[in-house]
Amino acid sequence: MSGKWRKSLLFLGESLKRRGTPLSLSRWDREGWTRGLGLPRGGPVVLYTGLLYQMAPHAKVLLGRRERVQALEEVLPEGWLRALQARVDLAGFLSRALFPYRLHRLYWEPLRAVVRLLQAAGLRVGYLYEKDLYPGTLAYELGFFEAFLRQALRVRRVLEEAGVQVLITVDPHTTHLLRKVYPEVLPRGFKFEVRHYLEVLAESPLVKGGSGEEEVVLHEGCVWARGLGLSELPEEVLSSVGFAVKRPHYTGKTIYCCGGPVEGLFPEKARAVAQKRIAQLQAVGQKVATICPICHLNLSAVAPEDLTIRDLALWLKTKL
Amino acid sequence: MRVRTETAERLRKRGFNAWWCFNCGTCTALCPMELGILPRELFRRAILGEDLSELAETVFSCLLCGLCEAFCPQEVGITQNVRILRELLVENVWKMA
Repeated sequence: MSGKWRKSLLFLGESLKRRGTPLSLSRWDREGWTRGLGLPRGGPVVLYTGLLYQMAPHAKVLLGRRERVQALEEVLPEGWLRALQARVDLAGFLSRALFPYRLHRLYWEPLRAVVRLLQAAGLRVGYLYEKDLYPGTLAYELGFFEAFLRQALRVRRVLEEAGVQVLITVDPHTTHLLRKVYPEVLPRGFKFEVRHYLEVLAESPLVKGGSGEEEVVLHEGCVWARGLGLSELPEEVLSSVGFAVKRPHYTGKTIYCCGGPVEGLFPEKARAVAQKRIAQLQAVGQKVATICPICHLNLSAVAPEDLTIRDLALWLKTKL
Repeated sequence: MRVRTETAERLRKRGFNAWWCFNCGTCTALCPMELGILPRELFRRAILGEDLSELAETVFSCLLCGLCEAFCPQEVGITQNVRILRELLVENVWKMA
């Protein structure tokens, strides 16, 4: 068994246990996207990002600096590595040092677009700012169940204290976790209404039904299509604002993964899966819409230059 | 391989369920990762008590994309089983948690 990926797991696990998140973000990294939007603090209906979009560009930088992390992992014995990562957030430091601002824009813009779309749909949402916490997605997926449960309890406590009733989510992973996993694993359940912004838009006057001209290929993601069973919804919303939605061969129940879930531990394998998916998407069009920042990150890493991959919120915003 | 019933018991307590798998191979045919050991074999070896460390790379290579699960004729909770194997490895075998 190769020790490389196991040390990466140890590295990640230590962060998840100690800090509840794979890498810590500064206040600017977490909340900088809200600048100029005038989002009120709190309220009964809040936008809950779960920090996935904010974390995506940092994950991209960290993966690009993987060699430095691995060099450290190779030099240090396991116990030392664990002790060091427990005290200092090395992943956070490596992903935040000399951070290129353009990457912030890449993943902040979809969030800003979601707010604009919700406002256009007539919905006033608040935001929890420093209380918009990472919900523990990676701890849940990697088997750090205790760390996940601690984080889930923390999230529920913060939401209860803030008097929130409805959470508007922006990515499939957070939506799935809050809607399906939290109520199952938390004692006393999770009694908040969880709605993805596309579900809100679908019921708004923005969506009128009909079909459009501009072609866009939909990659809705595994968690969205199979986990949440919402494969038809993005097509409905996109069509109604003037897009002609194209579907690759593997879509809906048969959707093919982007490879993102194993990017942290097995980057070569993740790349191979992403390349297969890119070929499937490219076979039907040159403009791709993603719903999940992890899909966007992983597919963009192997996409040819003539293929445009953009978040679905940004495509929608072009039609407003 | 020596069969060890305690692993099966530990898995069962956590909700692991592969007892209905009839080894049809649908999961094997669908897996995008082309894993070395495929779900049906992985679960069987885990139930029989094989050292989980030997299966670890496969367990952590799974995308949890759920394609296999969506088409499993026996409706085995494949992704949940993989998560349980990860929990056992992280908590009991490697003591990382």
